[in-house]
Amino acid sequence: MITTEDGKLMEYMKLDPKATTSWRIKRGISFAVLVVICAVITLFAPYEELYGKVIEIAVTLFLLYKLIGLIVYPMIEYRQWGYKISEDKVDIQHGIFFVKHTVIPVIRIQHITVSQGPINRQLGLYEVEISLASGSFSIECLSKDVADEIADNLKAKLYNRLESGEAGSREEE
Amino acid sequence: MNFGPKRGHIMFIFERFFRDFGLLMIYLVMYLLVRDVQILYDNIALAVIAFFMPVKRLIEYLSTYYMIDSEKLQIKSGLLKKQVQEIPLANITAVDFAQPLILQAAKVYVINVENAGSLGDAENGNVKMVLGSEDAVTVKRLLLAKHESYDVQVETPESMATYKASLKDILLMGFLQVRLLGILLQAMAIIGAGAGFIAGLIESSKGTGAERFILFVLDNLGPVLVIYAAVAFVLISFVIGTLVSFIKYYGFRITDRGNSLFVEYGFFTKKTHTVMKEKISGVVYVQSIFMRILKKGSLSVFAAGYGAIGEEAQEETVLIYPVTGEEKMYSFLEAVLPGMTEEPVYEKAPGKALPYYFLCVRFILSMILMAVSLCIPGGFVIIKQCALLAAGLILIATVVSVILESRNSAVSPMTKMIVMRNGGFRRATTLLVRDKIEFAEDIASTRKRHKIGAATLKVGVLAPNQCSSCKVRNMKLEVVDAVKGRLLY
Repeated sequence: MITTEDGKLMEYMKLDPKATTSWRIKRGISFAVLVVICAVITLFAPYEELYGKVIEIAVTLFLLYKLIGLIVYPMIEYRQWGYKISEDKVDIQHGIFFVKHTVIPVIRIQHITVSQGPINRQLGLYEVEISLASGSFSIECLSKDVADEIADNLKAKLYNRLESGEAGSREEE
Repeated sequence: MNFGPKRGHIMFIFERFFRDFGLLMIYLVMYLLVRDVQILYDNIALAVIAFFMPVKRLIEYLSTYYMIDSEKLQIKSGLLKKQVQEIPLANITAVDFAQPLILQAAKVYVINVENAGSLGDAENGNVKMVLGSEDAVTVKRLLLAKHESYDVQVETPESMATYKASLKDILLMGFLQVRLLGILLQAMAIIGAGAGFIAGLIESSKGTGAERFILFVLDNLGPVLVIYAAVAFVLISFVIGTLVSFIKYYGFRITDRGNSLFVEYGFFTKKTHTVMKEKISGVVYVQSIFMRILKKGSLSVFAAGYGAIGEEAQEETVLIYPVTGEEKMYSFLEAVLPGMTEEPVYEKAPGKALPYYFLCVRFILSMILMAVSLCIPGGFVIIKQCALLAAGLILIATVVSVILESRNSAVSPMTKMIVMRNGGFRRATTLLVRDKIEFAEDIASTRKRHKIGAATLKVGVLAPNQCSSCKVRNMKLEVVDAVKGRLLY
């Protein structure tokens, strides 16, 4: 549990509201690619045969599912996305059907990267990537101020903890 | 003291003898058998291909130079495309020796140098050198100059505490580690398909006499023959498994050198591994179904910055005991990782979580396979019988494996380590050193989280890619929180 200085339970911070637009555009692009692939498949499917009709129905249902996903999933994803950054740890929560909670101790962070893809650049959104020695985790779709604040905050915490850790080990010696 | 710039040993050319010279040898043998020069001229293209790899290897040997100073290892290579690779000595995490059969007579060693770049990806940034024994020791000493406590000896002094695996243990490990289910299913699939193919072939040729008799036998005894053939296949697999284990781990010996563990083994290719105790991230105790019946298992360690290279990139753990009881694991921990000998108190998955274990790829695939087998038209009698038999066995085995997984899944969050147990037929108990744990994660659907109070727990650890995370499905949320609470913040 992450608590504030006065002992209250810390609330999850939300992403920028423009996140849903960014995800919709990304899903929209992959949907367009899928439509092209499915069109090619159905073009060559033999309509007279039974399995040709099965392919047609399967492709239609698949595209319908993707279209619903394009509209609905970003809303659910936005509702479930959240992050908390405390003095000693970063807690990230995200997912659609399966929600994932990740806890990363600040002392394990190797480096922090702030990046921006072409879609996010148009929307003025940034991504903060937290790299560990064994992998990396991201906090997506943040405004520039928030992304910079998180990156600076984490760097400061990391240096503070490293310095206090070094001081502690010197005292032990 | 510096080393080089110097080429490797001339035996570098022959290190991968069968791969590089195999085609050339076949070509020469063919010539010796026929003794006709004209054939050589006629197959000049084949000769070019046969000579390509040896010449490439020779050029690699001539154009590669190694240089070590007090700060870095530098490798200059390439004839047309010159390349200089520099690795700071401070980043080197392990230096291990291997000695394939072909290099043993010449007393030449293959040196595997691993650096911090190999973390997460065993192949990335690793270096392989081929040097004579004197150069090998010098190079190892220089490469590990920044790690004062590192042991640089190639051979093991007799005075040190050594455990030597008996031949019985090595053979037993090979025998017990055979993946019976996988082999059985593969055998049934191959033999079933083969039987169906032969029957189809004979039927289409409308043969008489012996062919008709084979068809009659396949028609009436098809599934029985498949079972007999599958059993024979499994027995052969046991023999092969035992033989492979003998060749790979012959002369297995582990020495406790104080700061490090020194492991050596191999029949044709002799290998040595040095694992620094301070780098050990965890140990894993693996038990196949046969091993569990005999209350035995194989114990391995994994360490930050350690990862085999080349063909064995998948092997990122170091075997410590080929076959041993669970109690040996704790006595090993007592010797190697003092203070981590707490007896684990396992927290198991809640009983209500059993249906959630069936939400896995292998169960869904086995159900699809059964459905497909049922849909085979009645005309293909032999194929349908074999497919139904195989699909039925797969389904039963999958159900048993899922139930076993639900019984095996357990976690024990302790003061200095976290013990995670998972697997179905093959059970793995992983002990993760708390100081090396990097993150903890839980994954669950909203329904599972609220109704059952369970989630899948994943713990990431500072280790090579293959063992950098450990997952246990459907653990109580309190246990998940307890694990998160044990992380070093």
